[in-house]
Amino acid sequence: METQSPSSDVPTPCCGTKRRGILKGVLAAAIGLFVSVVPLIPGLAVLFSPLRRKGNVGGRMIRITTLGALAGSTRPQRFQVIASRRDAWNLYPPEPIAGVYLAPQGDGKPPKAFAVTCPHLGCAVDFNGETEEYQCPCHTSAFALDGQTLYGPSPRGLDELAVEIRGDEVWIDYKRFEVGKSQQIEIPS
Amino acid sequence: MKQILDWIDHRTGYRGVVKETLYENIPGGSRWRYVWGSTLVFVFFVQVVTGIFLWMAYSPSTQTAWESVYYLQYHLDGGWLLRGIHHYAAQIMMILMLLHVLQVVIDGAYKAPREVNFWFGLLLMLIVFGLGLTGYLLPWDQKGYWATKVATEIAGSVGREVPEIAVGGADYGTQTLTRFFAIHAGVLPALLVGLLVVHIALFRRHGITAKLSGRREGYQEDFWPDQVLKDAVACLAVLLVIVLLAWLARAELGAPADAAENYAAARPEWYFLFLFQFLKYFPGEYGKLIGAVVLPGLLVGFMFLMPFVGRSRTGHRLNVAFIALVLIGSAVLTLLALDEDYYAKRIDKSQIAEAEKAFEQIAIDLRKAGEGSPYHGKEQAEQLAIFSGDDQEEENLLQEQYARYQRYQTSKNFIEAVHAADVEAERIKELAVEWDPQAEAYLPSIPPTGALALLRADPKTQGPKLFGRYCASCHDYSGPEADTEFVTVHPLAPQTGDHVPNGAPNLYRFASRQWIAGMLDPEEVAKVHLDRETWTVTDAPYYGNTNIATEDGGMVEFVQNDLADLDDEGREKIEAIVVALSADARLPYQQTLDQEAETAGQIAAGREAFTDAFDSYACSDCHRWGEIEDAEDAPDLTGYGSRDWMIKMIADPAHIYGEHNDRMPAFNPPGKPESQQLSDEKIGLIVDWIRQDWRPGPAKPQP
Ligand code: FES
Repeated sequence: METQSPSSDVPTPCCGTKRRGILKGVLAAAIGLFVSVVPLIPGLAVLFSPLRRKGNVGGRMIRITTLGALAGSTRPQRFQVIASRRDAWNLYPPEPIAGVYLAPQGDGKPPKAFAVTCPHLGCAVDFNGETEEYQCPCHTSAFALDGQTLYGPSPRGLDELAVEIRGDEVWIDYKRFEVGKSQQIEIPS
Repeated sequence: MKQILDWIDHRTGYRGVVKETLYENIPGGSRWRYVWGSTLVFVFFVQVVTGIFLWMAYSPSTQTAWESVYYLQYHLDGGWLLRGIHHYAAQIMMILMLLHVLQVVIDGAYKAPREVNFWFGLLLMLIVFGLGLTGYLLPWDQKGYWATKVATEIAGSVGREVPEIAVGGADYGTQTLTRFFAIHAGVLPALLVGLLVVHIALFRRHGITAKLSGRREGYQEDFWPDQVLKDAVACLAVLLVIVLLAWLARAELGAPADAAENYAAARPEWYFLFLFQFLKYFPGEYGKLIGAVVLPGLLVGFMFLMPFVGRSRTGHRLNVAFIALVLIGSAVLTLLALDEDYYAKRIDKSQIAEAEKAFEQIAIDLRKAGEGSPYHGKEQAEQLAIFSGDDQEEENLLQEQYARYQRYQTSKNFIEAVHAADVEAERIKELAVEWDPQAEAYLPSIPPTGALALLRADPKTQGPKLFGRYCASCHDYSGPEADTEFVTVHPLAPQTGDHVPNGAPNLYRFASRQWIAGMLDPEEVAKVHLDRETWTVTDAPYYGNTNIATEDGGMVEFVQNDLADLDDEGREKIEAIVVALSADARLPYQQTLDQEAETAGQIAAGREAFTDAFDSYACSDCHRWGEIEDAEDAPDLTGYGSRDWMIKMIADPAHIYGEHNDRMPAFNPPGKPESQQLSDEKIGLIVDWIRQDWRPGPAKPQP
């Protein structure tokens, strides 16, 4: 263990027989390696814990707003997704955890819902009322009213979330998807 | 290959370094006795490696420290092992350090020219102590919290400023954790590394302190490979011990630290226990200064002088004698500390029987005569003196037993506190998880306010403590059934025995079917009597020694007269009333029974029977009950034993019992905040505990 320290003693040639010396050397090195690696093992297990955590896919239904709040408007509006959230050991009471755009589709039809997360690298998109497109502030991807990519580096259009009308309430099936992929791949949570 | 190595060597000179490192000459050859230093360095390496990973999981604040350790220990893969290794390696380090110091002193390795290196070694020792002290607090559990608090209070004997700086204010809090953490994981390890480099460099400079005799004379060997192999094998052995300990006895995590909840079992880690015991012999304001600062300071100070003392042969012997004395002294103190704590386990109770008996008699006299008793307002020792009168021999015996009795009580408190802490530590593990329907698993679900908030709102653990504090001086709480083991022998439960000084009802399973049946059973209520000999109420589980039990034309009289000789029909009626009345309590443990009774029509039958006369009276002649509103003299039985009813009863008994209320105080009378003794939440905790209405633990066993 005591390494890298200069010695004033002059080394003298070894005196054991050479073969025994090599055997001992190999053994010493092997044990030394072993005892240095073992303490790392539980640490690495802890470090890689998140990868072994199996999440569930399938989303969860969350109430967003009422139809009344959308009535009379034709423009997409941004709403907060309010839900309880886990973070390591904590379970938080319901609070805003994400944003969603609800785009009215005209009379009688339920609105469409788009996640605000840009599928390029995850910035939040804004709806520009003048150009009538969703614009990403990061690398200037832009998306049409129906979510299709108009221009910019985004590999796919905005992620649409399923909408369900319960009475006069608007619920969505909240899911998250991996960014940077041309296919939608749900992130388990 | 050789070319590459040549190229590297040319630019780094690594071959020279390796050569110097490995081919250091050891006069007399490699020996097992030289391995201690290497094992120490190895354990430090283990601490650095595990410490860095722990660092990735730890979050120093009062709402997250315990929680992050909990998460690591129970929810991250291998977390328990990581923590276990760090925990036990720290203790092994203390032992190895002790051996190392001992060897250095005995071998005289502090003598010229190695004085400076000896001093560096002593500094390293102090740093390791500091690491142990600061690390103990970080999990922020009851044990670490209270033990470390004592340690910083000791520093306060030097001046208030010292603990305030260490703690980051007047009180323990998040600043304490951030500071202790930075010291534990940053400052001290950095210092240690720096000093260690010098320590090893100087050691290399002077070489090993070899004892050459006999065949070893003139013989020498290189460090590589023989000594390296011996060192490696020693490190392997140390590692195996650490991992085995971590595996077999998992590192403990107590209940979260609670400044409001005294912890009678606060003890430092075992290697500081001698100091803890030492302090007991230094009372007074300056006692702790002398016991914990001055004397240990002198001791370490003397060690710094050892190289000078040890110049002569006698001086060296003096040093060895000194270190032996310190070690033996510490060992004795440690054993004494352990013995005092666990005295109650080993003592033969007959050795204190006379004193206990005397105290029982004294208690009876005090109950009978109150302030007129000669024992009134006296210390226990004085009471015994009065008790034994002129009999000097008996007094001596009693005083001798009293000394043991005191030790016994202290030790018993300690053992009970440890047990209670274990129970709370187990319970918080149950409370910290919730079933997640989406993940289909129990997931850690601690609110952002922290785990302590969960524990404080838990009736199962807080109820018995509050009951003990506020209710148990009058009310009994005991039950015979096996499945009630938790409540009856619950370590937090109040001490209730045969003596019920003020004779209020036994609230165990209050308002359950059995309880109400007992209340209406002429045999049971007849048991109420005052024992004039011992001045206690024995066995008065339902009406106690209250005026409800004794008043003319009262409930007890009714039960004894009217319910004594019932025919079958009458007995059926009583049963139906019991079932119906008990269902009003909505006890969680009786839920299925109550539902069955409802569907079987028993409850409706009970309500009907309520208005039926037995011998002369019907219940409804005196009591109101729900829609049965004929009478109003006796207590309204609507919702009897339900959560609301009980809360109202504790808050203000007159509200329910009117003038029939005997001595039950109002703990939270409405409209009179100045006479509030218990808040609504606390009353709720007591009520929920009595009703056994608490969150069950996870159904499936937790990992
Ligand atoms: S993140 Fe939206 S364009 Fe890059």
